[in-house]
Amino acid sequence: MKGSFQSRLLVKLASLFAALVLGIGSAYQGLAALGNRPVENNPLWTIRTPANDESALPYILGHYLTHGQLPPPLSVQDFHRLRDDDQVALRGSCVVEITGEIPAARWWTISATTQAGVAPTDSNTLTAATALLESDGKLILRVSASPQPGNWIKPPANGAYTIALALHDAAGNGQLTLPRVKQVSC
Amino acid sequence: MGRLFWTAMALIGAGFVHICFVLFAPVGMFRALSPLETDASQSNKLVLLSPDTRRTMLPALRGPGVAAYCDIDLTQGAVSIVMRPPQTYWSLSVFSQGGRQLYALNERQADTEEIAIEFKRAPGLLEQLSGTGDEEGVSIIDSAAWSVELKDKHAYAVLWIPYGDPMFAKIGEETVKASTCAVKKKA
Repeated sequence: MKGSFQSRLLVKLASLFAALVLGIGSAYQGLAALGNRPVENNPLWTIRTPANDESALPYILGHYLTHGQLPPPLSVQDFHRLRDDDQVALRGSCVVEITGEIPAARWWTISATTQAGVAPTDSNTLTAATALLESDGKLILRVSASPQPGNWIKPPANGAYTIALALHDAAGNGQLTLPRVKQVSC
Repeated sequence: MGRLFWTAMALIGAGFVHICFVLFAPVGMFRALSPLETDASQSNKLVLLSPDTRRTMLPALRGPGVAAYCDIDLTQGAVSIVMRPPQTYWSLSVFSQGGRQLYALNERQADTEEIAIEFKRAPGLLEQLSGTGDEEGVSIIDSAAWSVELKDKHAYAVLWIPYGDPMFAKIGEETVKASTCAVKKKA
């Protein structure tokens, strides 16, 4: 009789514990993954924005808040990518070249950030005001631990990092063509 | 049968915990993890953020720039932000406690030398039905350039002034020093 009571209590406690672990675990998974979408026609770039994803909104906002961060303002489109055009993970020990036109915007920044999207110093960022553009308006930017000629930013560390392109008040709502990312040497 | 029942209860409970966590935990976690002091004494003040704090708290605002933050607390009355913005690009964003953007303004929309924005609590359902709104509040709103009614008692305002030339850093800092975020004194 006593053994049966203990067995039932154990099942109830296990059920409660499983509910907590599954609930919190799946919530963390959802906050990390939901709402981070590939960009149309630029699938290696992703964006996590509250602007056009009402169904995933609690997860998108929660993702930032649980890291002690505020989400990007709606006027900022914050694109990220973890891999180059050959699907190789970006690493600080390699030299990577970013080329292409930056979509028209009031202000833009392109940065080499940690995987959480944080640029540890301003030397990890090139801005609309400091970029040197080619005569056809294209940008050529190198991400490297050692100085490079032309536009150059430092990766945050030798390990894996993320490239982040933030467009502030971008012109138009059409499809964007985002820069290409190639590994030069490693 | 009993085990099947408790397995089903665990799954239903997990769904409940999941929804509650996603909806309610982030607000408290932001206040706990934010690098800023978030106690009541720091409310309704425009705080110039250090570059490190700005990079951590506002990761999408990268590169050189001046950022300021105000924890708007409407429990003490209407709060107004008054600023004389620079001629360069700047943006002001106001977020709810849950991170939803409520309001935004930039230099093209404002296009003026001095900006005054007043934040006031939106009347509750009972106040709307009975028509017993805060009469003093109405007169305050009439005298403000912009007025915003918020559903929540708290909101976060972020002013961002990016620059390319370090010379503009001082202009941005002076803008923040000359700006205020404070409880509006009743006339």
